[in-house]
Amino acid sequence: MLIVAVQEELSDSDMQEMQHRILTEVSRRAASKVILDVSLLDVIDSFSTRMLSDIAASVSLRGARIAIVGIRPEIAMAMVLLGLNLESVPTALNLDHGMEILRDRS
Amino acid sequence: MNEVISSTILPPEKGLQEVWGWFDVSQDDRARVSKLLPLAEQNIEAILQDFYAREGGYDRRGVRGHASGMQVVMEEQRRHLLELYDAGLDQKYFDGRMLAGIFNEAHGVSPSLYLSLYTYSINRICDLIQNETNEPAEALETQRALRKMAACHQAITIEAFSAARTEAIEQRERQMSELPTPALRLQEGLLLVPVVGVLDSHRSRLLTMQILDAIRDQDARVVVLDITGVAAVDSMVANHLIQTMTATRLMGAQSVLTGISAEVAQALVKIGVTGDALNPAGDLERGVATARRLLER
Repeated sequence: MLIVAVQEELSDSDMQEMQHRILTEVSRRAASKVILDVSLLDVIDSFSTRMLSDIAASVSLRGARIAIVGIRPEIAMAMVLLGLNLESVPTALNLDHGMEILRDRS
Repeated sequence: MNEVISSTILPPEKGLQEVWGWFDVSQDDRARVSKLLPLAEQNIEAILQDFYAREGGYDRRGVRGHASGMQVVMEEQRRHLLELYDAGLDQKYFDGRMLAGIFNEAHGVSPSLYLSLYTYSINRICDLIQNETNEPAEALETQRALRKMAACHQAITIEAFSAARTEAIEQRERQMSELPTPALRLQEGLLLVPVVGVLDSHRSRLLTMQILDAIRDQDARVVVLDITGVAAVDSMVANHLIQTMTATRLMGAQSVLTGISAEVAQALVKIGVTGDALNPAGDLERGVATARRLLER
């Protein structure tokens, strides 16, 4: 299992680099589960919302399952208003809950 | 709502002259009516008493408030009826009419009561003019002037009445829409949110933020959203609900929607909203049962 904690502020290039690193780590460690913890993220724009769903989609293409945890209320609201609903990605309130979800479904 | 065909006389943009113009009131008319003031002052009390004593007339149910309320209303009406005769044609006069309309609205004096009293008093004054005059032609002219001015007088008051009524309704609607929505904790991880009143975009944004904060603070896994108390659901409201539920899911909680009435269900289907997006569960009882099952999973 791979746990990725996103830091407070991410530039667009940070975001892309993160996607790249997650994908390489997934294959290097043969991880089957990835948890993306975004609880520190307090601002979000349309680019990073799209990157989040891109990361989720590409990780599942790699054969691993991903859960996004710790989305803050204001981030959730912003994402909905930006039209992103992460339909196929399981979400969880916190890390524990996220690990529970991934465990249950394996 | 139908479009308003003509503008109203409130507020007069080109000055009060315009208001009088609507009713063809001339300077001569005003002079004639002003001369009637002593006559009106002498008789107004009797007219008022007779009006309220008439058989089959006013039955006293329309006026709100305590016992002295009637006294207050009659006092105001006496003043109001007399004001017609010393019409100053200035802003003060106009404001007086506005206040009378607002007074009527606040005291539950309906337009019917107001107009019937007014018509009664004008007719009585006209009779008096008829009886006292030696020049029938002159009297007729005076009566015409009086009726024109009275119509104008009434129009302003009724306009103010309807404006005050609209204002009161809007205020009530605002109060309704500002009703806070509590997020109740039914058991660990399970929140119940009963939504009552009107959901507009401002309130639904607030509601969503409230629910999301409650989810975080109480570590909730399932939210039951009950819309039994939501009067009407149109595509806007449905969209707000879907947004709320999507945001809830992004937070990692599941949501269940209950209390969709038959009318609301029909309306939703008509605008193309299907069950999938809303995760409905019938009434509140079944919704809570569903939520408990989701919790156990």
